Amino acid sequence: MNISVILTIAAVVWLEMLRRKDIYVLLILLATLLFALLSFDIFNLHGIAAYVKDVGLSFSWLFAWILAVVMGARQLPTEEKQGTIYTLLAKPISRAELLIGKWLGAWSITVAATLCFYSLIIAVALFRNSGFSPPLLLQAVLLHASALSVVCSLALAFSTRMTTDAASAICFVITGSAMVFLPRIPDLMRDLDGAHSALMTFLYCAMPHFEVFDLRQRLVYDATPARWSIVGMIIAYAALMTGAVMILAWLGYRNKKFVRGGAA
Amino acid sequence: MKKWHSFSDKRWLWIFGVCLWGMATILYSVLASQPLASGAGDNSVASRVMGKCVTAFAETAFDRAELAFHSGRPQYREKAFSNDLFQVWHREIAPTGHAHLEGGQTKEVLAWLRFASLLDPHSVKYHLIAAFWLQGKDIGRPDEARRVLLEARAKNPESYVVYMGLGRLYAKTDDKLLAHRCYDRALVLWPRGKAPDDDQFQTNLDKRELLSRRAILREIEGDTAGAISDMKSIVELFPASPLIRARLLLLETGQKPQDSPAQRWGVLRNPEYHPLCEDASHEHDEPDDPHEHDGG
Repeated sequence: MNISVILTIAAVVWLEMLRRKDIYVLLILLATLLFALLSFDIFNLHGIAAYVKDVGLSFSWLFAWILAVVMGARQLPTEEKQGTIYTLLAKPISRAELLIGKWLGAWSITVAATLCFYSLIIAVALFRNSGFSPPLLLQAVLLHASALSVVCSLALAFSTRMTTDAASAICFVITGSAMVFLPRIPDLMRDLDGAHSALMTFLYCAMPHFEVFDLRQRLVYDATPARWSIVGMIIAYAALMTGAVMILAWLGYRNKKFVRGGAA
Repeated sequence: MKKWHSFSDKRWLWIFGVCLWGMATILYSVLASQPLASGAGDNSVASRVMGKCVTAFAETAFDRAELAFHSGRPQYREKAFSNDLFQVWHREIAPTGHAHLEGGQTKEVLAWLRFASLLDPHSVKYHLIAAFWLQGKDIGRPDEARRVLLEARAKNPESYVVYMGLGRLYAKTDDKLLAHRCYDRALVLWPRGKAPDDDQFQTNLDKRELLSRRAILREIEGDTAGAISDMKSIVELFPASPLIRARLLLLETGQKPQDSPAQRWGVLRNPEYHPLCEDASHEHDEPDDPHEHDGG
């Protein structure tokens, strides 16, 4: 495994992303939204900041999720469609290095974009004479970045055998339902039994649990940081999940035969 | 055009379009401040669908107000299991337990209530709860509470609940004349314009509050006959009201009750309850005396 090769591939992903300007669009959207929220007249009261932080953080999660899926899902199919995959693989690059390089590029740029989103929210919160507890903010960013690593790896894994659109769609459905539906399974299972209950249990264990990465409410309403040991365990869980998905991606990609003008 | 092609594929245009549409909807509701929810008049499919969506958004904003009031702690739900690793982690990560915003912090809930009231101006509960917090001692803005209730009245002129809210506000500021007028109007309108999720029992409780408050005001004004009539109406609604019956008996026999009407009024006009919290520790037992209950 050649680290410099992986870093070069990741750097190419960065260059391509900067050329595409997707991040700027999302940043402008977030800034517009926050500005609109700031301009609201809340009964002529001053110093209300929690709702701005809450909405801002929710949208930063939404935008980072979209970016992670889109970035992860388009790396490999685009190379195949443009035919550049042949040039790439003709060099002394293994398919595992290509996958890891692509994942690293997609994940790191998504994390960088997320940091920009957080900076914007912090600036707006400071403008409202409010702020965040620095250690808690660090935990929130670390956990958010960990969640994004799982999303990027899933999107990349699907894209090894699918077109960009199909991989994005499936990844949006799976990660979206994991975020919304999965935390509610313990509630729903109260009224289920037999096969339904077994299916729910299987889904609950098999799908990634994004709710454990979500520090938004604590960040908005509580200044005390979570226990670092728990944060560490959750990061380890994300690393394991990412590793497992990347191994599956590699298994799906290592013997793949390419067709000129194929997947995109 | 070339730049647009290189900038992204069509997917981004869709996302951008949807976001713009969302912002336009919010801006429209704020600037025009017109009823977007299922209002009277336009019964087209589009307006009904739009109305449902906006009502759902308003309800979501109300849920966020509840969440904000409980400092980000969601309502407890019973689960099939709760000791798996993910839930244990989640309990460590997310705020848990039961807590409330206190003092000046309570204004944080008002942002969400404002959104809810703008999105669905026909659901008077958002206005009423916002007015409750605004007139409370922590925020102390009865002027804004009055503004939000007048806004609700303009959108819901037939709702007795809005007049009840205005009556509570005037009672709080000890404006007996206006409070009396509001109770009169509310009793004329009752039970029109009740909140959709209020059952008959709640509607009857509201009537009892209105009647008991008006009865006290009538006693203060020296209109004993009017007060007796209101108390009789309360006994008809809730026959098991021993304290009301006792007071009624005293008034009917021309005797003076132990506590003066002014003292009663002082108790009535400062009720303490949490409209965003259903925790058992804040709930009142079903009172046999309306004076012991919220404003009634």
